[in-house]
Amino acid sequence: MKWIARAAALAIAFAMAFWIWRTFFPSPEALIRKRLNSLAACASFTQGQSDLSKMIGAQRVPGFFAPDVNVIIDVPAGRLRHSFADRDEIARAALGTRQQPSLSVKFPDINVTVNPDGRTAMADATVIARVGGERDDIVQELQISFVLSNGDWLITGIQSAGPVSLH
Amino acid sequence: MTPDAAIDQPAPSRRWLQILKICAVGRHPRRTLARIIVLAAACFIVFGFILLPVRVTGISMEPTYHNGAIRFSNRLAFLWHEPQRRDVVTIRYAGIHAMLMKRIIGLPGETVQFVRGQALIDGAPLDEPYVSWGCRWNLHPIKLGDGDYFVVGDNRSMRMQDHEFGKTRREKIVGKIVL
Repeated sequence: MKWIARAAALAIAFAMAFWIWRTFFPSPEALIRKRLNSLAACASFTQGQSDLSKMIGAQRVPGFFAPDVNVIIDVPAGRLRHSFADRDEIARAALGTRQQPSLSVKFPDINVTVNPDGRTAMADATVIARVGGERDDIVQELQISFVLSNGDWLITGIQSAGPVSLH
Repeated sequence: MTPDAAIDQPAPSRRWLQILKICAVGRHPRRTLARIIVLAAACFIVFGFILLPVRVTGISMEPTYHNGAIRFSNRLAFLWHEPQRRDVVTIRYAGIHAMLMKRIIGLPGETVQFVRGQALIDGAPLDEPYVSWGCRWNLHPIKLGDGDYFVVGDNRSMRMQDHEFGKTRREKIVGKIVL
């Protein structure tokens, strides 16, 4: 019985060491996932939230993007496309969303591939946005490109890539 | 009745406690615990990896599947054969936490088009008994390549612009709707 207890203690020690290592030295994939979840948190707001905290959240959104970011996303109604060419446009769009009663943004699935150079990466992510008062959620698949700049992974491009298309 | 037998006889409240205990954990608690663990593991495997529960949101599959209904997507359905026409399938985005539910009407190599609401496959009208409400959709012919499927919802009374449909790749199809 002694060896079982020793093996269990060793396994627990290894698991804890691994967990501590991953906490203090997260992989680029984990950092990118965390970054996208932080972006979703900043873009989201609830009905009862104060105007000041809504504005603070909106002002944080452009900080997730590179200055020369290029965003091309499908607008669900009418099969239109909308593009943003720089951070200022994104800042205006983020402030514009605050006119809605509430907004919930989530990335339930994120697949990250870091390129061999270690400084750029691609993420294939599902975004679910729920606008207060709207009946249906907006669900899209996005191809998001990242660059590592001063220790932060910044978004350089976003493009809609739906699972079905007419092209 | 001897005095000893009278002592062995459980009091009514104690007997009820025993009955309650048997109802809660059975006569053999260890066996009950083992059964619970096996059942929980089976549910975890079946509903986590094989039969994925899906909640229908939206009206694009009306009247076959209603908004808010719970259905299951069988991930093993296409293990031994390819998806067939009229199968209702789930199509993944980046993962399986959010999926589209659509019906396959076009198979690889076929040409699909809509003329005044009628779906045509290689120019021939497709019989669609599941479509209850007609439409006036017009869509140019779309040629499907190898591994391409054409999927569309059953609710054609929606505006074409509001309805997500079109070509999808085989690897995007997760499973077939069952139950």
